[in-house]
Amino acid sequence: MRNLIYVNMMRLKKSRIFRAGVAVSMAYVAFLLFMNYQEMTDSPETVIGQLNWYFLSTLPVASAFCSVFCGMFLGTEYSDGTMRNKLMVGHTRKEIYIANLLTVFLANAFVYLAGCLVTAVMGAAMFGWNLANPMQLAFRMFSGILMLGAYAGIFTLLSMLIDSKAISATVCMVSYVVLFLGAPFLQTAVFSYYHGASLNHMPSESVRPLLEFLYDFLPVGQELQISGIFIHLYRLPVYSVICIALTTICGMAVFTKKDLK
Amino acid sequence: MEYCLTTAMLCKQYKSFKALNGLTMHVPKGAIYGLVGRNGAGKTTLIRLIAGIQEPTSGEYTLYGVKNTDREIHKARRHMGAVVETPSIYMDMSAEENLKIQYHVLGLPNYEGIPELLQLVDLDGCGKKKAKHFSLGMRQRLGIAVALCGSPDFLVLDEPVNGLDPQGIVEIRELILRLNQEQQITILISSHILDELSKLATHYGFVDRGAMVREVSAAELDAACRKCIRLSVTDTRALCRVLDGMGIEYSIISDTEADIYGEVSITQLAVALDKEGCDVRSMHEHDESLENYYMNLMGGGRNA
Repeated sequence: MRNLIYVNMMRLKKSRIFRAGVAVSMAYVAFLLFMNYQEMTDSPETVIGQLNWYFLSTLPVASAFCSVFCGMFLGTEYSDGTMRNKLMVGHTRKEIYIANLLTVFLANAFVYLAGCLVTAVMGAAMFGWNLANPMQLAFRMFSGILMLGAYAGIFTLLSMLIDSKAISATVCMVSYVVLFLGAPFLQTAVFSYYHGASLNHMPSESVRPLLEFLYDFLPVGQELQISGIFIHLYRLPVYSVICIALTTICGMAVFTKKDLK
Repeated sequence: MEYCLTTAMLCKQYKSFKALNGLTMHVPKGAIYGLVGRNGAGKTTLIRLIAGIQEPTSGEYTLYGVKNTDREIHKARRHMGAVVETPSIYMDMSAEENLKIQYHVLGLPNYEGIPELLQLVDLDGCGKKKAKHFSLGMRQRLGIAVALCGSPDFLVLDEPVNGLDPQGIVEIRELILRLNQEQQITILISSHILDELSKLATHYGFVDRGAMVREVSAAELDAACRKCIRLSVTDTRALCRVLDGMGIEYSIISDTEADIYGEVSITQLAVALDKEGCDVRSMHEHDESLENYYMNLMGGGRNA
């Protein structure tokens, strides 16, 4: 398996999508910092001077990157037929699956941490090392990284089971967009139980456990909680681990039986 | 005889379609085994199974004596390299990078052997050119080079000359012969280009509808396809007397037909038969090629 991970890392270094993901993540944080720095001169009271928010701001970038990268990177193994080379020389399907999952997760984490690096360097230079509640920030970052693992689990499952690069890339991106667009509705519905009805029709109390579970369990819901107002922050890492385990077990079970071409 | 691959009653079913239907075959060590069959006969399915890309529905195969159900089959596959359908190469990488990747997949400690491999497949001058800019023949040769990483003893090639130009076909043929003769690599090659296969193979397996119709060695096939003159006469007993007297090898096909092998003077034969009161009705050269042999074997009517 170490060999397979090493090979994936070699490919990762050459991957244009990965490089673009890292560049976008870094540029995005740099842009946010720069805009706030400029605003500081006009209206200092509106500026987000604490770095906490910036450290979490690239989580959505890394999530979106995962949906694009996973289908393309893993789909290439199918489209170029190179997965056969690994199977034919005796690597098991489980090894291949796990190696791919770890690669996608590491790529995600790298994209996220690249943004954090810019925050640490540029942010500290612009606003000083201004952190509120560092322990909670560390926990949020930890939860965020596990959430990226959950995304990696879901998109690896889709990419490994769909043996067309074009279809798997499309399915990953569309499923992310659907979840991303649906998340605010879920958030509004869940928050209505806490802050009163902001919806025309407040959801019934009977569906509340389900909505709250979805909001906590789905990575898109976690994304909103980690970088904003949370309901059950301490449940999120547990749910992420469960999500990674479930998707990996299901994915490996199907992939080991799958007829490859 | 030692075999590097044997299959016994191998079956593969996709929903209601039986791609392999009890296929039994034997690939001797050191051979170039030509797997012949029309499209959909089950050649590629067989190769997918032995390469571990798919699992058989029933039946079994052994690779270097290790059964497919044995846990050790993964280790046995390390003796094998394969190019299934299209070459398995990263299109956005150069030839050398592709080989480096495969060296890591195999866990080889260093890149020793890559320059020799590139030279062997005549891709040593490609530099940093990416595989997506290669010609079909170059990609095919790179696919073979990838399959040769780790110095396998058994190479499986699925339709290696499909779509290649004449120059590419000659290059692949020479490469296969070199690998077999110089490096003693056993080669299983599937093809429906029979003329090309006849220039390479030492053994043949004829597959139809997922089952093995016949396995023959090239020597047996040569004997079956031997050049002869097919003679139609009024009295084959008279013909036998004359041919025995002239010391010519022959075989009787029917009451009125016989095949005569070797050089024969037609005038002398006709005169001798006339003396015996035997008329020659017709005479034509009978040269059965691999294609004819295949068509006869498969019952004709369908193209290879």
